[in-house]
Amino acid sequence: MTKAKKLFDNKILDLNKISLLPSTSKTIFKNELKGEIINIDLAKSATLTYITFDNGKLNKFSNDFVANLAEDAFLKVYNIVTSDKASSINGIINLNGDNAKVEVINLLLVTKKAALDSFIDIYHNTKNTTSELANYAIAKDEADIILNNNATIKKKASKAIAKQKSKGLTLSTLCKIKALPNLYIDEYDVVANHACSIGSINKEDLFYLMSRGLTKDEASEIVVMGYVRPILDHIEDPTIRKQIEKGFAEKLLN
Amino acid sequence: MSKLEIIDLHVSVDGKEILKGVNLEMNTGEFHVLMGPNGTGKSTLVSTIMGHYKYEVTKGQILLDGKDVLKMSVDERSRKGIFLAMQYPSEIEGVTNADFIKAALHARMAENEKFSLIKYIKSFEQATSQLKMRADLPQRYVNVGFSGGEKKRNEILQMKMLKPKFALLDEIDSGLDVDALRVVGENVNDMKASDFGALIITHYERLLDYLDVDKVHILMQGKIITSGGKELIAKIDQEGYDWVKDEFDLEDEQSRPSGIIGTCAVKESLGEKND
Repeated sequence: MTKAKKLFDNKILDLNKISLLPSTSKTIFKNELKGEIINIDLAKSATLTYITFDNGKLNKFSNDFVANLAEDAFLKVYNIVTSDKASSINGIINLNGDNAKVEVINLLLVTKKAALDSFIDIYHNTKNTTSELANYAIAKDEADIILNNNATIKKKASKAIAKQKSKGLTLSTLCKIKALPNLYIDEYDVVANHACSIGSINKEDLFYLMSRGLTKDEASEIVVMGYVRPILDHIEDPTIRKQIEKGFAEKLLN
Repeated sequence: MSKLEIIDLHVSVDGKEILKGVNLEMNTGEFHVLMGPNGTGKSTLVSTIMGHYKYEVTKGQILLDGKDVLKMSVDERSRKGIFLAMQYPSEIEGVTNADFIKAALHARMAENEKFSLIKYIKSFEQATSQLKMRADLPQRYVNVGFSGGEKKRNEILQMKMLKPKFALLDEIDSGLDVDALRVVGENVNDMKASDFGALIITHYERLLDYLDVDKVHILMQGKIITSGGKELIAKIDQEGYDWVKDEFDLEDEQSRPSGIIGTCAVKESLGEKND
């Protein structure tokens, strides 16, 4: 193997691996994922904010990642989709060290005839670990969204906390959102819960907004952006946030 | 001057007739008060004028300057100058008050009209200060986490900013403490002008102390039974509505036959829910 080729191979490997040293923190933003598996390793007390954004430019956006968290590590994942093309999210998160914590927020807007399959699998492998998974899904036209959420609390992972929440907003009669929450628990002293609500825009809210002069489309957009904005407020980088807001506005209007 | 006319209006909810021939005419520059016991159709009337989806107009007309309001969508009615201050305003998550009112103002602008942000901020600040509202109001989400009184003030704020021709105020005084009632009353009264009129629903005389009222109407059993001046308010405050029943020979609604819903529920009227 030539020296250049070796370097190139290492580069590829580097691109697919995110490793944080103990007590460091970082934000990583990715908007082009084609199926390569991103390996995330967080050492003790490391903090990573990992943001992915599928704006529908790629024909098949495939967001696959595996994360391993050591003691006191903290991973925040924001998977954001505004797409009219098929896409998928596959995430495996291992909470390996005591007090490791993960927060996953999936904010998904899928339009036209596109289908999105999200699968998040979280393993509480040791004690005092915490996972919070929240899905905010919006389906328009004939879109189809499936939200698979799994949390496994293993034996001896006492005092673990696993929370799952899915909220769905359907903007047409032909679109579908399906939430499949699963909690697998093999320890007694834990907190685990899941909640789900799926429905269309509240008619009273629409009436209220229209009674101030906004058309039905404008009122609907305001309600949906209102649903999205509090989640986007978590993203600290204003450039990334603006880019994502633009994606939502475009897909909602088209 | 603009004119709002309600002619022989019949309105049903879920097949039950609530309004049974309401006639009312008002001009800008006038304040009309609509009073009546609970469940007689006051809120039904104002919600129907605004175009609420729940209410079905089975007969009659609503005209704004001669134009058929019933053919207009809700947003069109608003842009033509009708405003409803609601009894229970919606809470809209994620939408700040400032953005919401700005969007509503944009919606009523002419095609070539330019929006002045400075003018907007100035008038927003002026209106919130006149209503003695919290300084962080522009950044707060619409009605989210607001107290009952704050929600009512927010309705009046929107009215002041949107400058309608006719405001329909549905129990805007409920949930307000004495000081807030005065602030709201004075702010509404200050708007009275040749290009602004209001139809005010209330159960209490206190709000009307701050308003320059021109006419009072009593709505009972789905019809305006009598109209008059401010003297009617004092009479109702002292004697209630029994004298209206006696004077106009109204049948007691309680004595009407009950409707049967399903096999295990008997409902006599829609009651307060429909007020």
